[in-house]
Amino acid sequence: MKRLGLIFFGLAAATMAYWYFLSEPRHLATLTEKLVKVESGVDDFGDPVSEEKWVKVFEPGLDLYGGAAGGIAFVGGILFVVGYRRERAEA
Amino acid sequence: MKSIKLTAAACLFLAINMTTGFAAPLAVKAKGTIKFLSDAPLEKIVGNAPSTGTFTIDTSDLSAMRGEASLQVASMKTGNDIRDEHLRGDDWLEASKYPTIKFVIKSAAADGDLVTKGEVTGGNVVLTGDLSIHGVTKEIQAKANVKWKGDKFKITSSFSISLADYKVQGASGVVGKKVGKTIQLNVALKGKGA
Repeated sequence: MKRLGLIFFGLAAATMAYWYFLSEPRHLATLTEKLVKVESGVDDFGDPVSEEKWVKVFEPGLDLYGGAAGGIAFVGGILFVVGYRRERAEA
Repeated sequence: MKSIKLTAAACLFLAINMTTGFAAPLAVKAKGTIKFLSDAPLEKIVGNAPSTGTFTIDTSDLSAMRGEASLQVASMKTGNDIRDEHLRGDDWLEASKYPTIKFVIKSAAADGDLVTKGEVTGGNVVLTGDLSIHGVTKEIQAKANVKWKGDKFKITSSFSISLADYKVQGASGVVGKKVGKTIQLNVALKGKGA
């Protein structure tokens, strides 16, 4: 049980590490809309038209990764404490 | 004889104007977007807001350019509704107290020669003006590129501002970590003769 708790702690750390090192772009707040360039020919001045439009996306940020990591760590903590107590009781 | 001379002078004036593409001031109502970018160690934020402006351009002398552009703080978007609410809130831009961000051109200096390609004429210009954000007005300089074709007009500009200059402090410890101390603004407005 204690080992399972430690695994959960590791999972929580991995979740945070994923957010910090691997999620690209890294957000603090979950992005629900994103500016996307839409090229559409040339304008009256001969310049390329690159309008930017908001499109719906879901790019999780620290608010979600952190919440998930916190939840996993909490479960890990409970498992660890239960395991520790059980070991002590058996000893 | 006098009236013939006057008519001839008027015809000459018109002919010169027609060949030089009307050197008279061009008054334009323009609209477009202002994009803003914050690059902080913890996060990069990109957003925009619709903007409108009015400009007067002397097509033979860019230094005579005048005008203003503005945007509504309530229309600023960053792709996250909660963050947008914070942006408009008391810690940041206080949209209820200071609903508008405005730039008024006070003077302009041509930065190079006017270039004509076909019907399009344009050039670079350094604009000096008052930028008002969050109830604070500061004089800034911004490089811009202007182009016109007949009565159609386009202006693009890119410059940076410091949040501290406009007393935008944000929640404690956020500026410099989650929000950049300086914000880059990219302006792109187009319009037609008013």
